[in-house]
Amino acid sequence: MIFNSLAFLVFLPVVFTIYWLLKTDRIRAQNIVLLAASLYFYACWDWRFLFLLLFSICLDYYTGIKIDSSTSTRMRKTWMVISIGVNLGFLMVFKYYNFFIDSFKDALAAVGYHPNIQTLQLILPVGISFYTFHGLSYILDIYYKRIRSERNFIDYALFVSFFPLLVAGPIERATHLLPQIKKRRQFDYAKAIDGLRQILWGFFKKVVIADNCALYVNDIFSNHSSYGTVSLILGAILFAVQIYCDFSGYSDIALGTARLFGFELLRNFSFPYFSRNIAEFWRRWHISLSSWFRDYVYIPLGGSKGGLLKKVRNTFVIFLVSGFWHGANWTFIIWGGLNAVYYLPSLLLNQNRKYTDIVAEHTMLPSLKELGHMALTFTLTTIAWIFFRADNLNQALEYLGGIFSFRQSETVTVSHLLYLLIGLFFITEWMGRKSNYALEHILQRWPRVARLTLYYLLIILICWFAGEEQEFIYFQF
Amino acid sequence: MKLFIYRVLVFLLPVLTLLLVMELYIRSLPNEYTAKKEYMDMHAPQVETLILGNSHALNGINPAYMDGHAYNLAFAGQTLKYDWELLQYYDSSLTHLKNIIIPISYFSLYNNLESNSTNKFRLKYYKINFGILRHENILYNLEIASVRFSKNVTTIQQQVFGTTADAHAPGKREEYLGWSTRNSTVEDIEKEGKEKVARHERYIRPEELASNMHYLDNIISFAEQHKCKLYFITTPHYASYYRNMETDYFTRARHIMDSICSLPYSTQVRYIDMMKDSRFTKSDFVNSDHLSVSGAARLSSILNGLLREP
Repeated sequence: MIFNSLAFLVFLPVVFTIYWLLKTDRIRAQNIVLLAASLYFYACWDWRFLFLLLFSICLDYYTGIKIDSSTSTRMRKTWMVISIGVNLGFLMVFKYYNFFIDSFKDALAAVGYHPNIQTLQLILPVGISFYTFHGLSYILDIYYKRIRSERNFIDYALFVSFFPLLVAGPIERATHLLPQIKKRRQFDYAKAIDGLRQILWGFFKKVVIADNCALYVNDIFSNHSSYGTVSLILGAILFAVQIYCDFSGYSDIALGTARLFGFELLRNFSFPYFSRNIAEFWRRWHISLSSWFRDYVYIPLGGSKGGLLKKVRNTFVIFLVSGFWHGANWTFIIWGGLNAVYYLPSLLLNQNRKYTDIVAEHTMLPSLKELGHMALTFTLTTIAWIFFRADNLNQALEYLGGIFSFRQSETVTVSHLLYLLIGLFFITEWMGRKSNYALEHILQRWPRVARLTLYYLLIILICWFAGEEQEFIYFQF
Repeated sequence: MKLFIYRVLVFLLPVLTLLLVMELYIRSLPNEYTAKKEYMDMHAPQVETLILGNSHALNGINPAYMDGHAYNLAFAGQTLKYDWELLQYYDSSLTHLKNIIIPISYFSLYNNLESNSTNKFRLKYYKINFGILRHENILYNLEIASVRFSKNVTTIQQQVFGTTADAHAPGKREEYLGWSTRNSTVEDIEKEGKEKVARHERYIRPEELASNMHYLDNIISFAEQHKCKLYFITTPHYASYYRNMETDYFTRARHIMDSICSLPYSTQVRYIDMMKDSRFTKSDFVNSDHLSVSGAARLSSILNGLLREP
């Protein structure tokens, strides 16, 4: 089941009604309803993978208790290694096995040896990278004694499988979500309305902007050799818009849905295309993943302490690992590496914490300097997105080569309506950049009629462009 | 919470009402499926030659050129699965059936309608009009949800302002025997052929071979039970189409069809490959894989000659 499906539009109100019909002091019953709904939600993809999810939940639940109750450091470490080893083992087999085998075969082929090693015909279980990271953070937090293990199985299972975040995040932390699961939840009218508003905005981003950009992006990327420089640049820009609206749209729907049930999930996006350098971009893009890598990879490696070389090494490690997390393809690794290269100047000049505020916080428009910095950051990230979008390295390099060939071949014609919608979208985002999501506060001063009109307009636009369900890009990760 | 649900419902009521009205209105509009259903419901017992299959048969075989009572029950994108489903649907009514004609296209043995992004919106018609098959995906049980909303608006707009939305709409033909032709001829058939093959190849799924073989078996059994002749035809294609085909697939499909048809049956089962038939010239095509009015007349006459053979 995906968010932008009719099935979900039926599923959500049903679960919502059952959930709130239960008395709010019956937390256990509410959690059981949510857990059952989450498992059903996941089983709608492929029920067989439910067993993998349940195994992962049971493993981390059990090893978490074992780590917590062990007195010897050796035993704690053993259980931690078992849990992480098995979790990463599954991830390796399902997501990376074929990549390693193919790369190994390619390397041997380069020296004239052609081994007959078979790859596996495996389907990647949806959301495996996300729920594995949920489990890993839980185990590591117990191991580092940041939290105690969770003894209530239902609560722990719900923490890992809560349906709004199950398949594409945000990657939650036990320290943030588990206390909410254990706390009594009261229905809050204002929060529920806010949740619906965020869901509506998420649908608009996904269905109206991202899916429309995808039509052009798919065409330009698959026929890149026949398009000229202008079209190729346009294709890259449209992909930058598409991936932002696709993934942040998903996150908005997830956060809004969770809010309907009384939960606040971690924020995942904070207007990343208004960033003034790459360091700021990475504090605003896929925040839950970036902070995960910061806390569980970068800091344990020494973080920004130590010499310059160590800092540079750690920066490359997290960007390369982050790239590899996205998929078993060299394109993602290059994408990660490229971002590490972009990040280096900020790191070396000690400017990676320079922009922690909101751009043009006290003015309506950015200064020319800020505009220039934002444009440069957007250009750099857009170049990196080419690698992210390309099917393979050859395609990415040909695409880049095509841009710099300055050829005047076929030009793609993008509808004026899409330009208008993208323009209006970014104006709205700019106006709402101080909020959690663009529509959160900018409507508050509007009269009720105007607000309702805008909501209906958004619904009409969503219906207008809705067609075949398009999966979210991040589902493949 | 009750206030919240009440207000949300009140807010959504106009939207839901509008969608419901649109669904009901579009369902009430005549289309090719309703027209053919209506015809078959009335005349199935008299039909002697039934033409099934995809657009290659829909545009290529005109029953008007055939002896006896022939009817074209082909639809764009129709696969062997739905040929079989329609035969089952009219099983008890087809009391005078003598011949069944089914096209075997380049991709017929390797595709299914459910994964054909161009045509899968048609799945709903089988459910809505013939009541056959229930699709897990609710989108394919509804008129308005299976295509873009803008398409629905255009359909309604064209109805309200008196222009026909569906190029295949039955109102366009004087004598409706299920056959229809395309409105325009492509300008550059060479380029179109290459693009069309590429598009068709996107829908080729070798893993579908087994299930399509199963439907072929069922169709042959049906023909044996009804003691009628069964003709599998590969309709003529323009050179720009077959020159660009992945020949392995078609060679294999042709080999399979020859093998199947060489088996002993209690009725006549034939496979006729007219893919490269030299009797068809450029003017017989509207595009690289669909015949024009004259092409359809030529093919139908040839087939009629075959049907006359003992």
